[in-house]
Amino acid sequence: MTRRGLLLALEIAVPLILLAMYAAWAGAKESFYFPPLDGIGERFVELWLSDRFVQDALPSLRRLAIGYVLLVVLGVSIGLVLGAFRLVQQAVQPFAEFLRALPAVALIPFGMLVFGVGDTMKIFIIVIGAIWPVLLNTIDGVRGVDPEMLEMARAYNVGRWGRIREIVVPAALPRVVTGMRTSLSIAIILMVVSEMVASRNGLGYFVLESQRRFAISDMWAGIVLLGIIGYVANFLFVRAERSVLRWHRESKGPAR
Amino acid sequence: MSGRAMLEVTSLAKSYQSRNGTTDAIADVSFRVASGEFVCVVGPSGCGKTTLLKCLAGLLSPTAGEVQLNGEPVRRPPPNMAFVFQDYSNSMLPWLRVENNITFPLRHKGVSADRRAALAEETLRVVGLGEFARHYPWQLSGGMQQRVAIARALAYEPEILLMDEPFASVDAQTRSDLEDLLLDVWARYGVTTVFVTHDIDESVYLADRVFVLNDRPSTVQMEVPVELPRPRDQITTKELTEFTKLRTEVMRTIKHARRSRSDEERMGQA
Repeated sequence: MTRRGLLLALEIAVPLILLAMYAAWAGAKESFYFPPLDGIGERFVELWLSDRFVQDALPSLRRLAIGYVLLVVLGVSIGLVLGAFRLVQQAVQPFAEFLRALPAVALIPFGMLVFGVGDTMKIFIIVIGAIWPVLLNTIDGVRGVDPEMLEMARAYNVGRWGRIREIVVPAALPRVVTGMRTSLSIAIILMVVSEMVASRNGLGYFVLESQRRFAISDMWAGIVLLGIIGYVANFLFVRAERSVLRWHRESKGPAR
Repeated sequence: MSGRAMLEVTSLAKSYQSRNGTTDAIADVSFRVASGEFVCVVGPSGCGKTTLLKCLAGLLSPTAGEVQLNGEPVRRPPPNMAFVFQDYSNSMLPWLRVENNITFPLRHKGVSADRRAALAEETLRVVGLGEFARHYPWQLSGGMQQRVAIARALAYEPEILLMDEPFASVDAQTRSDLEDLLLDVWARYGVTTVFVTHDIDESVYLADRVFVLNDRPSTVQMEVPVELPRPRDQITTKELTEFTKLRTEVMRTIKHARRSRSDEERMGQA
């Protein structure tokens, strides 16, 4: 077997073994807190292949998607401006540092006050809490653009807008993408937390609600679904990153 | 000097403001370059050669004096001028394939897609990289990347080509190959060339005239006409007594410039 094949087999086998171990352990134990695996699996299928998916998972995914798209667009645009104009960056830096240091969940009560308990509040929390990695990495990325590249473009009469679009943006992209990935995991956390605090639907709400109803298998089914969402999101992200940033990975690699 | 003056530099001076006060890079430089001429500017490292070239290119504005191209003052990079940088790896865009690196300036110049493709193809062939159009720059060696930079400059169809120590960071063998390639290209396209280098042999081998700068703040210490026959050859040209005489002359001028300068410094300290 090739090394690659071996690694892939391990990657698949280890989780399966862990699952089997849990099944054996929980099955024998009959614990209230750790229900048997087949019980969780059963509830998982019943819940998420039914209306409950539409009722709880879809609203969560919608909030996450809207919030994430919004924060990426805002973070990248603000980051480009702040990165390009040192003066503006200097001026807003203390305020930005303060906002960043503030735990976003502390703003949930404020969000409820202003936006109510609907989607707007949750999207607000996701944006304000998860925008920072995108924003700060974009600023760094813009700062890190090689001055020689810009000078080359200037020597060839490429205008300011052309230089931003065709040099600053692609050169900063690897950093931006790194930020986007970190932001994504923070956004998922904030989605869950905001739904636990104030919501009538969503996966965060569902997990907490199941626990309160002592429906422990349901609770676990919700947790597992959240894990899967996080995993799949990250997986898709890495895939997209690989194809978009092929030049970056390979130009830094041993090929050179 | 044959032909009309294409580039005219008059009493150019440039100083920088930095944290340590004002640095005078160029004190007073004047010269003219005729259309189709190959001129080298040679001088010790750090003497303000690059600053001078960037002033010619309109990338820096001079503190005093003027640069004129075809009778027009240069205030920003002119559309009929191309620039080849010393650092090839940072002047190539790593996310673009070689052909797209070449056509990048052309797109912004408003050249049609067909013409862009034709120019990229032609210039890559001229620099001997015809089959590397679809590669990325970082897949190529340093010397090959600098060939791409030359192709990019040629595709821009400039009347004047400015080169800033373009062969300083490649190995000796590649360097002499690139020098010959450049002379071929120059003869073929008849493009006026200003070539900055710290390598005395290189300047004499390539140029019609060599301007010797002294240490900063720079002035033109001497102008050396090079009347070696063309086409030139790495072996036979460099064997000529005339070549040896010229390079000795340039070297002596540079040494003299440095010595008188360090004398001054000693006097200053005393």
